[in-house]
Amino acid sequence: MQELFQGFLNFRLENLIMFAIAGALIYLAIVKEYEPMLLLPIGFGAILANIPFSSAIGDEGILTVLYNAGIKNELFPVLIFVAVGAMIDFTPLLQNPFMLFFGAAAQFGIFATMLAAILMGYDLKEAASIGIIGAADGPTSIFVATKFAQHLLGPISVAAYSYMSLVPIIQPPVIKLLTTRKERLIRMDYKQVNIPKFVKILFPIMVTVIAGIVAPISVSLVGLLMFGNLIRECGVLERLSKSAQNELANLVTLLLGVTIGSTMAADKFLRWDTLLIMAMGLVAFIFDTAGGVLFAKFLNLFLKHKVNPMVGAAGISAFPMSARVIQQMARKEDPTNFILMQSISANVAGQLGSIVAGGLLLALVPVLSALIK
Amino acid sequence: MFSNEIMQNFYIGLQITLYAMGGVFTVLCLFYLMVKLMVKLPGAIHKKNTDSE
Repeated sequence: MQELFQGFLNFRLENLIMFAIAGALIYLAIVKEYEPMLLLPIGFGAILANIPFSSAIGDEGILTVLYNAGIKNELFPVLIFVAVGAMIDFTPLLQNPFMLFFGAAAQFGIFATMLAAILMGYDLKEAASIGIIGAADGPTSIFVATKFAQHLLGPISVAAYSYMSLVPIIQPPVIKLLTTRKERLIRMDYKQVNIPKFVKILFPIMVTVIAGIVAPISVSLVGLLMFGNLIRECGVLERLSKSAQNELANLVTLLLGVTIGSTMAADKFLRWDTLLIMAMGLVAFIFDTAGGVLFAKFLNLFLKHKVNPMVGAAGISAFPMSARVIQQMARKEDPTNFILMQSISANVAGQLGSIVAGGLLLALVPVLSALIK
Repeated sequence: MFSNEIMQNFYIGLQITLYAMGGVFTVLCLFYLMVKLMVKLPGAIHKKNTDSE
């Protein structure tokens, strides 16, 4: 008889708190429309994982099967990269290759946060996994966390996707703090040039080769992203390109979200660590923004045609949210100022920069942490 | 204030930061040179209107 009521009998306060957290994620997804494609499945996955004796988790639970088949072996994030690659248009970046440097500078938050996490007592691999929230790129965060700190995957994924959707709230105050009105009013010329097809086809191949030679461990990250982009740009695989952009992206996102939600069991999630990780994720986004803005200001010391420092902040990977935020800020200062294309170029560069940074972390952390032992 | 282990990790973390930030800039610099080279190939680019305003 007791077995009939085991769900009621084993329902604890922790389960209720997790339901509230899951409800908050679902609320943010539906009402506020913050990354609904991820936050809603994550929220529902968290509910499934926190029902006492849930058959969805445990050794033979469907979510455990999905976790082993798609997250533990990094399959889902890598498939997402194919889809993302098929969605990205690198043309604005090819028209303004100078913006690539902002895609590098705005990765500063990853490393600043990693150092902060080390000072809080996390080991190198955990700290790197927390720092990678600053990549502002969900699949990269999941990929690195899966390699280095699977026990922190839940909070890291939630932080990464939550803050990505909060870019319009996080970036403007940081940018305003670091720039003067005069700097925010800077206009930038935009050269519109036609990029021939062969350049668009050659670009993903060359990027894969260069990044792969520098950090071979990044090949599955960069390579699959660029594979998706090659499918898009080659012009002869339209069906595959559309499948990658729609069916593949939707299906994997759905499974990825609900599976990550299943890692949010109360005993693993309701910890001091989770709050710290959420706080450090915010720090990562702030330092990313600051890194991009300060780098642009530094470049302005030497450049004849000044760069609007706000464009530097678009060097984070949250695409196209960050570029839109920068354009809105520019128009607020001067309704006739148009820096959207430059911001989009920097934003696309940020997508490349975040993946390269993730690849380099994957390569460097094991090598250098071995020095301690 | 911090234990030896934390300071050792921090030192390694600083090294990782230097190498990785250097690496990201180097790789993206290579991408930049590659794009510059590709668009300089004969007939690669047809300039259009040069001002957005």
